[in-house]
Amino acid sequence: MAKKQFVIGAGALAIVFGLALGVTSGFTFSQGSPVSAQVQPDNSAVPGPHTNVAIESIRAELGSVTQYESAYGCLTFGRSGLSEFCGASKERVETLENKLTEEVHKLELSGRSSESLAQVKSNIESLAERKANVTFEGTSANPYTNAVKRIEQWQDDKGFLYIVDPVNNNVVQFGPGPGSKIPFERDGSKSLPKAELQVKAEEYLAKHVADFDSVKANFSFRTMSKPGSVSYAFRWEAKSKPQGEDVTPFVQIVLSPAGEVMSFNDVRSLYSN
Amino acid sequence: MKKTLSRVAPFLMAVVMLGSFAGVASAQTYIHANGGGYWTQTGSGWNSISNDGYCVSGRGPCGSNLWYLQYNYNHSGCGYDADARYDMASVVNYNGDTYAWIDSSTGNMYGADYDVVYNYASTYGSTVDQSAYYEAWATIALDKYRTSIVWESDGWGNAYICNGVSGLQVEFDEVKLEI
Repeated sequence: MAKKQFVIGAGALAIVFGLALGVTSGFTFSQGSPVSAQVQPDNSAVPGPHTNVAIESIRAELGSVTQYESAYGCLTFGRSGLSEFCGASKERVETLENKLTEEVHKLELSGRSSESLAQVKSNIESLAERKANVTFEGTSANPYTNAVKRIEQWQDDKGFLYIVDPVNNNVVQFGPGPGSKIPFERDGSKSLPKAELQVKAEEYLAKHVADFDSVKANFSFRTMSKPGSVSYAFRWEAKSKPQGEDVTPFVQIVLSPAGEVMSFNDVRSLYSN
Repeated sequence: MKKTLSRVAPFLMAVVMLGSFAGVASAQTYIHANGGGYWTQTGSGWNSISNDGYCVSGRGPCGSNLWYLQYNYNHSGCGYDADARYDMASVVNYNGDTYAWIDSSTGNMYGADYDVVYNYASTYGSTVDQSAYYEAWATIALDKYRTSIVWESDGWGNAYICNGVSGLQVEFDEVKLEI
């Protein structure tokens, strides 16, 4: 049961930040202590999550309400066996959580011009190949690069989630979003031959990735399929991994056996400054 | 068996101003490995594939004892047979997104079942289509405040609750929290 933890950086910063503002809730959420830790050099030029007075005020209120409801309110055990708010306690906490998210989103979008947001919508609709209603779902550090670069998440009205690089408004990934139920064709009798799927994949990428010819010429190509042939991936991967990174830059499309686009990636821009 | 990993990969900037301010705090990444010190699994039927998943030789912040992924055949109908829990090593006062690494060799479950616990005892029941992702991070939950636990089962997620399909492989590999 040995525990080790690689701590690369200062995870406690957020707590320090909260303490400095005097808004910590007083809860203890200890999950154990790391046995070993490494600290990476400070990358202090990289912006993280934004905050302001309104957000901190809501956090403070949320902290107080959460503390009260956890002590005196309605708690039950969920199907995972974990403690969950219920009844009026759940509603009260959720109301403040939603208010917090709304305020965070407002701040996150405050620096984006209407032209940029229109470009995001246009890029999403281009990849979706249809008109779509899209909803902003917040920002975070991107999951692919170790060098931190923030991304935006946008959800469309079919349940696809789009990860957008706000530097150029391009979509770096889309696929089924959390909680979605997108009815891809799973009937094996409608499967297309793999060669035909590859043609479809390359046609789509040629249409939507401006320099796809260069990608084909310079990246390593491979195809993959999951057990049961439930989907097929066509992936072009850079021949070398940038220094300090774990994931090699790639362009990829995943098709259902019937040729529907299930997911797409072009994460290359996340690796540039 | 326990293998361990929790990584906090962060790059920070502390702009803390008291009073009237607009602040930018640290951007942080937390990776928790299947089998790691902050992972607990129950039930039977577990399978593993060596040197596969996010943590493999040459990729990820993991020791060689973590270079494997796990999967379990899905439970048909309501409920689940096996589950796993990733406890966040640190809980941070920000909204964050959680992701699951989905590989190419397994993870053909299109209704994978996750719960994300945040803000002490709030829970988001998520469903992830693992079949659509290959060697990529699939989003489990968006914008959850103070995420503390990611839980995954071999059952059907909320979007397909009590589905009768069986024989699908549910992948359990690294999860990540980005703020």
